[in-house]
Amino acid sequence: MDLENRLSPLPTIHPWSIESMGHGLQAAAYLSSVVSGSMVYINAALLFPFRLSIPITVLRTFTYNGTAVAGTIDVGVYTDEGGTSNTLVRMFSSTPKAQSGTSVIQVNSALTGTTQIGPGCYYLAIAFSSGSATLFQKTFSTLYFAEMYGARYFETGSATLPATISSFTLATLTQIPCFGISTRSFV
Amino acid sequence: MSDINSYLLAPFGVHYYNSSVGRLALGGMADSKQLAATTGFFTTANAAIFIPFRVMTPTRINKMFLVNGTNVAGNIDLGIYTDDGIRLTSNGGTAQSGPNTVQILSMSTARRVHPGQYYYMAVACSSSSAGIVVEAGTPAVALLQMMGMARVTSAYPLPATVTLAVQATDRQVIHFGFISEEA
Repeated sequence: MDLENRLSPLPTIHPWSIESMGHGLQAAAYLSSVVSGSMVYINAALLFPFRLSIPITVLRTFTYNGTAVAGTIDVGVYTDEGGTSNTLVRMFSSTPKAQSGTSVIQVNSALTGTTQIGPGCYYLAIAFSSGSATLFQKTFSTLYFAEMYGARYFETGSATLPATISSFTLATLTQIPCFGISTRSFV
Repeated sequence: MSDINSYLLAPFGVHYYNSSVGRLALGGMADSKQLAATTGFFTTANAAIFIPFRVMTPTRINKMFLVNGTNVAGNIDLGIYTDDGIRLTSNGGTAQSGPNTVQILSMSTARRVHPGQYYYMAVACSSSSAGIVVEAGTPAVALLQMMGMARVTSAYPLPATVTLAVQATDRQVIHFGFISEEA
């Protein structure tokens, strides 16, 4: 890769970033507006792909909380499967944190794991403990769009993002929550 | 995922490409709304709004532009900053003039920005009566934060260094940007 193709990400990466499902997702006519809604996938990992052309150091994770808060939220980043392995490996996570503050960005600064990530393909991941938790989100109206855009869903049975993920439940994910990572000390 | 490189190829001479709502800045979000622009006013006098952007090739910036609204008032300043808040170049301050026009300001020094890091384009106005063009819809500040915007109070004219802070006030995505002309 030559220097001129090393696109630097903006200070935040989220499912709407060009590095993630970005423009193609936005252009799709099948998404609702960003609205507050409860999360139907609890004790599961929701995974949204993104890729980097240059290394970054992640300083914060964030969620855009909805109009009601409940339970805990865990946000992290996984490696993409590749090579001879089908296993995603958690690089870092916030670990489950109590959801706090309605209709605001909730920022998590204490991250556990390797927050320096190099060029490559990764997944943004989020897990909830309560179906009463709300986040601002968009929604796929057709189940298979999530799979088509590369989003994945894994029933972990826990609100903690697991160290590894090796299997997925495809084509059942409809929610795209507003959350992500930041390379700044604020969001 | 989208094909980043082909999607981001620059159409030469198009201001939109290098603007706050262009594909190298907040474009992914703005494109979804089909650039539904409306006129408004700069929310807070003397505050500065910072919008992150990146470039695909080394790019010389010698001018910047602001899309004026139906009213003009006070002075405006436009500039470029590094990701840690160091000013690379700016105009220094000019009276806003020409309602409903694209006002172009020369930079004090032409500076070249490069791939491999992101920068901020900044706009500051001395008057809250300054008319501007913004994305329609009055987005929530949380969405602006998620997109990577930042804000600094008391920053007119744009200072040499700033401590970037949370965009927690102004629910606007202002239409402005830079112009690249080789010497």
